[in-house]
Amino acid sequence: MKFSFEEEQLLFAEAIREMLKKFCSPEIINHFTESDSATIPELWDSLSSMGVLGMAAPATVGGLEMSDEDFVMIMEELGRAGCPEPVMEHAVLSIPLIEECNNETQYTDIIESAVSGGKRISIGLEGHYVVGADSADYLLLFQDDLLHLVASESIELQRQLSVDASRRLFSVNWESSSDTIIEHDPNKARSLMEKTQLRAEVATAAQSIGVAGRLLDMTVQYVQERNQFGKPVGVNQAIKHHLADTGKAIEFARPMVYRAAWSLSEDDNEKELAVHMGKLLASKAVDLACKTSLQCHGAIAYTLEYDLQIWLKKGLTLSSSWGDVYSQRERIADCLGL
Amino acid sequence: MDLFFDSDEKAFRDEIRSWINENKPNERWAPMDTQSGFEQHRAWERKLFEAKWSVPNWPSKYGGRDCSLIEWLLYEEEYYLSGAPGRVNTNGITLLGPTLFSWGTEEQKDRFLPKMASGDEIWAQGWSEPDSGSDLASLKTTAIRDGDHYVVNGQKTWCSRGAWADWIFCIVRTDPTSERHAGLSYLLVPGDTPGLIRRPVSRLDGEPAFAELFFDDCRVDAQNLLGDEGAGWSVAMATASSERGLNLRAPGRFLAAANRLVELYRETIERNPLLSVAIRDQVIDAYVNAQAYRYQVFQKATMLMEGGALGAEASYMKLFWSELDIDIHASALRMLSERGELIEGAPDAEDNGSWMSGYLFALAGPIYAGTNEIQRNIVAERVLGLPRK
Repeated sequence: MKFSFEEEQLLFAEAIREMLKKFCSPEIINHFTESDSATIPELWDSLSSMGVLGMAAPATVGGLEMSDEDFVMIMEELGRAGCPEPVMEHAVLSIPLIEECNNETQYTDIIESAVSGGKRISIGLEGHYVVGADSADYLLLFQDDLLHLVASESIELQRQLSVDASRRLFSVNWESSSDTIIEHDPNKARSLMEKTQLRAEVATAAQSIGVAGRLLDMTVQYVQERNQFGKPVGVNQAIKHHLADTGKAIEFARPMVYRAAWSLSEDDNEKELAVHMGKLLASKAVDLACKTSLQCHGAIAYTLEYDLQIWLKKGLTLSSSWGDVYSQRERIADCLGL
Repeated sequence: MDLFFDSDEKAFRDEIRSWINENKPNERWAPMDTQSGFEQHRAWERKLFEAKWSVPNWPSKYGGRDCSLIEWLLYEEEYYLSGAPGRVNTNGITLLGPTLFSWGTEEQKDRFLPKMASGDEIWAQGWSEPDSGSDLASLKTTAIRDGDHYVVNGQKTWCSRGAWADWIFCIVRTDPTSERHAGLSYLLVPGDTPGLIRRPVSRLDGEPAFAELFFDDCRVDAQNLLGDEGAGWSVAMATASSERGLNLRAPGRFLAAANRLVELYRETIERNPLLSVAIRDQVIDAYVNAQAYRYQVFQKATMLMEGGALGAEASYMKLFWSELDIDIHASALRMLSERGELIEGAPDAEDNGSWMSGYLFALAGPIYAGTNEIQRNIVAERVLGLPRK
């Protein structure tokens, strides 16, 4: 038993963090939402040049062949930076999914161009909204126990405005045909969908931990700068205890998210339980971070002029995305036979 | 990262599992905080010691097996899963023991550790005083040097197992003109020192588990000073770190309790299919949090084994396990409904009232080892970096 990351994994996460400071600053995120653009080209290019877009793809198509354990800290950094690009949908979910379908070399070109970032892919479960569909060249769509890969020009998109303006959500209207099917075997498609769900839970949980950490850091800094009654508000125990509880929730969720990622990488027989537990704790941690960071800031954080709102809204949406605390409890109950 | 246990770790786990299941007593003993229960539990410590299972993580020269931290965590898991008796010398082996390893002279380690490991000498902690609880540095009990001895005067309180313990590890003021943290020393006091009067105090559960200690010109050999005179606060902080970190409360006890809680839920829902789903959710949260504590500790253990050190973030752990322990037992009591309040001796009591006694024990968790309010202050100031004033 050795519960620590390798030097290489830590260095890669550190490099991504530094890159995101430059290409995914709050100013850039705010500009992106105000201009209602579909993408931030410089950020996407940087993600591509550092290998993030192809991190889960095999080396034969130019990917980094990283496992869920390898990139869990990358997802955390994307959350910490408030990254609005749909990296999870493209790199963590779509590329491995196409790779795992029974289709030999037919889609190699698409995967190669997705790894380089030239083509963008997003993904939607049946009946759910698709994140980043307007910038995607292809969508992976589950329907009636089959999996389809659909070129975006043949899909009718309808924008669904999210409270998180940087999260571009769409409902999709499309026609399936024999040409769109990428996985014909319903059993295989179902098992791929289940695997996608687990991957998405871990990646969303990791981003949630990153968001929660950012909210806590910003609040710790603010309560030292903000003076009332002649002293920083952070000297008050009421504030200290809110933040200690938030730190505790993050501190105890993080190893469970890492463990969930490791379980997926190892295809461990406890992986479902591990993943749902990680997501449950990450959702709880980010919920608490949203609540306490807003409260400890006061009115300033209740504005669009102050950057905390970027992470408040990320936290609000990630917490329930791919299963909120209630649905995770249901899934855990299933795993435990309760 | 490799979260599988290797073959050595598995072999170690299998060995303790079979030993404990073959050797644990089958009958229920009197509680360890009664005089007869105390001696039964002491005999159990001897049995563990003779099989080298009393302190497996200690060096073999003191009665241990030099096992790794991960192996020790597996030992704790197996120990609590087996339902073996509680450890009557916990305050010795998990609090004073690690402090002796850091601060004791070779003579002191040779003198005290083997007898602590064997249960021949059971330890109690003499820190709190009637006017000094959370504000420990305000303590007033004095120990004045007189030749080869210290003469101790004052009063200690809330000493767990203090009524029967053979020895007490105390913090005393060796410089009576000093204030606060300066002038304190860490002194090991024999329980039979003339002039020491011990009064048992019944705890909330009715057991005489606490004691008040009155020191009236007690002469204690100066060789029993742990660390230098005046360094008591630093030595005490080593003990406090053990109390909050993984020494005192390894995940094993909570994992075992959470597993029992899940079993209780299965039995209860069988009898009462209309049981509220809110209770099921509490059971799930308790189970998940016990697992979260387990993996948190595996991560910390790896960090320590790779040469890192556990600092103020140990306070996160103390907050977490103390709240978890209450949640586990409170969920069980809600499930038991009107039988929840039944204690040992009631014909209908579930498992002899162990859920209620466990709950009462858990209620102390947020108070001892530094109250949870103090722990939150420590986290805020020393982990997050908020200003003290």
